Amino acid sequence: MAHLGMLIDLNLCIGCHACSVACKAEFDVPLGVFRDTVKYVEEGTYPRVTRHFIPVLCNHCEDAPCLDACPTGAVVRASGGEVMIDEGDCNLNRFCMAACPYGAIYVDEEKSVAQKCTFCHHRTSEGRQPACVDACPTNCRIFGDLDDPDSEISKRAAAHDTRVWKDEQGTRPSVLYVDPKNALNLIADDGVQVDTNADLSGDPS
Amino acid sequence: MNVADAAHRILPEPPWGSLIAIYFVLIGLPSGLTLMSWWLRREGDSSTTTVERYSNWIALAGLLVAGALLIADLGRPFRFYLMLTRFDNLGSPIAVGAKLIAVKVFVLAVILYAMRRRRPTVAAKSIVETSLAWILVATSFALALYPASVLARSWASPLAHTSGAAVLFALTALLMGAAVTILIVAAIGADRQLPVIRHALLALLGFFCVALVFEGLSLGSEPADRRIMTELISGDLATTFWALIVGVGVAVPATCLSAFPNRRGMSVLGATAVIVGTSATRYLIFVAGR
Repeated sequence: MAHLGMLIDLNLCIGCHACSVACKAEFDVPLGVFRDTVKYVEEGTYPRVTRHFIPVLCNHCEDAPCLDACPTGAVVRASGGEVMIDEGDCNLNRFCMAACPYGAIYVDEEKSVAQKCTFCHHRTSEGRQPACVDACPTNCRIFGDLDDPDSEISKRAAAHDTRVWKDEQGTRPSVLYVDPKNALNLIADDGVQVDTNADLSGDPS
Repeated sequence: MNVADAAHRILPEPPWGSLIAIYFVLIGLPSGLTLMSWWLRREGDSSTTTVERYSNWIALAGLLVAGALLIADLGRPFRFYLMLTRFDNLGSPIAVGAKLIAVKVFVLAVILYAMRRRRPTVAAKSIVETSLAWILVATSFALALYPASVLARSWASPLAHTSGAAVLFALTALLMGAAVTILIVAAIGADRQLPVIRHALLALLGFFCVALVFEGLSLGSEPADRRIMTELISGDLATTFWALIVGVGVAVPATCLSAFPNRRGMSVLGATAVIVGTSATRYLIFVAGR
C-alpha cells in the first residue's frame, strides 16, 4: 500500500495563495474556511524583519486523532493513507474538529457536513496531481508516495532535513516541510502569534 | 520578538459552543442522582422508594433534555439517530457515551414502568430488577466520567487533559445528585432521610475541595498549564472560579449544611448552591484555556 504524502519547501513558498485559490475552486470551499491556506508569521524587529510563508493543510496523519475520535466512523483512511470524511456518515458532531490539533477540519454550512483536504483523492486516483500542487508557481509542493524510494518526494525528503508541524503531538503527519529557518516553530506555540508590546501604539503624540 | 497577523490564528474557533457546554454540565446530574439514589436505598428504609422514583424520573428527564441539546447542536434529529445506530468507532468516547445514554434511558424507563406496575418494596427484588439496578449504576458511573474522556481528546478544553479532570467530573456529578436528592427529600417531606444525605453532601464537598487543591497543584509545570491557572485565579475566569465555585459552590453550602443542620430551608439553600457551584466547575473545565 502506498503512503501518499506532501513535501513543502518553505524556501520556495512566496505566499501567493495560488494553492489556496486552486483548492477553493476545486472543492467550492465556502468563504471564511480553508482546506489549504498559507499562514504568515513575521519574525524579528525593524530593520531585520522576516516574513515566513507556511502553507498548511490536513496532515493526513498516520496516527490521526480525527479518525480515532469520530463516533460514527465517517472519517476513513483511503488506500494511499489519505484521511477522508465520508459525507454520508458524518452527523456533524464536530469531535473530529475538536480532536485535530491542526485545525484542518471545517464545517461546510451548505452541505452541513465536516470537510477537509483529501489530497485531491479524485484527481490522484486518476494519476493527476492535487490542485494545490498543480497551481503552485514555484513548485514548492511535491506530492507522491513516501514509501517509494524512487519517487521525487522521497528523493527530496532524503536530500533535505525535513520536519513536521507539531511533532510533539505524535500524530506522524504525512506532510513534511523543508524548513531551514525553523519557521514552523513560530506557529507551534500559541504565545508567539501576536506581539502585544509592539511600539506602534497608534498614539499620534 | 515575533509578530504575526492576528487574523492568522493557529487554530480556528473551538468547534463546540454553548449547547455542548450545557450538555456536559447537565449530563452529570442524571449520573449523580442515580448513584445517590442507589446508595440511599442501600442505606435507607421504605421511604427511599419514593425518593428513588422521583430521582429516576428526574434522571430520565435530565437525559432526555441532554439528548435534546445534542439534537439541537447537531441540527437534525436524524443525526442523533445516526449517532445511536452507527457505532463503527468504539474507540471514540462520544460513540460509547451515546450508547451509555441509550442504555440508561431504556433501563430507567423499564425500572419506572416496573415501579409503577408493581410498586416493589426494598426487600422484594427479583434477579432481573437487581441486574437492572446494577446496570443503571454502572452506566451512571461511566456517564459521570465520560465528559472527561471526551474533552481530553479536544484541544479546545485543555483543563480536561489534567490528572484531576475525571475526578472533578465524577465528584461534581455526585454532588449534583446529592443536592437534587436533598431537594427531593425536602419537597416530599421525607425528613428522616435528610441527615444522611446532608452528611454525604458535606463529605463530598470535602473531597471536592481536596480535588480542587490537587488540580491546582498539578497545573504548575507546563507554561500552558500555568496560563490556565492564571486565567482561573486572576484572569477572565476568576470571577466564575472565586464567586461561583469557591463562594457559592463550597462556602455557602458548607455553612448552610453544617451550621444549620436542623433547618430544612438552609438545606435547600445549600443544595441549590451546590448545583450552581458544580455546574460552574464543569463549565470551567470545558472553557478554560481556550
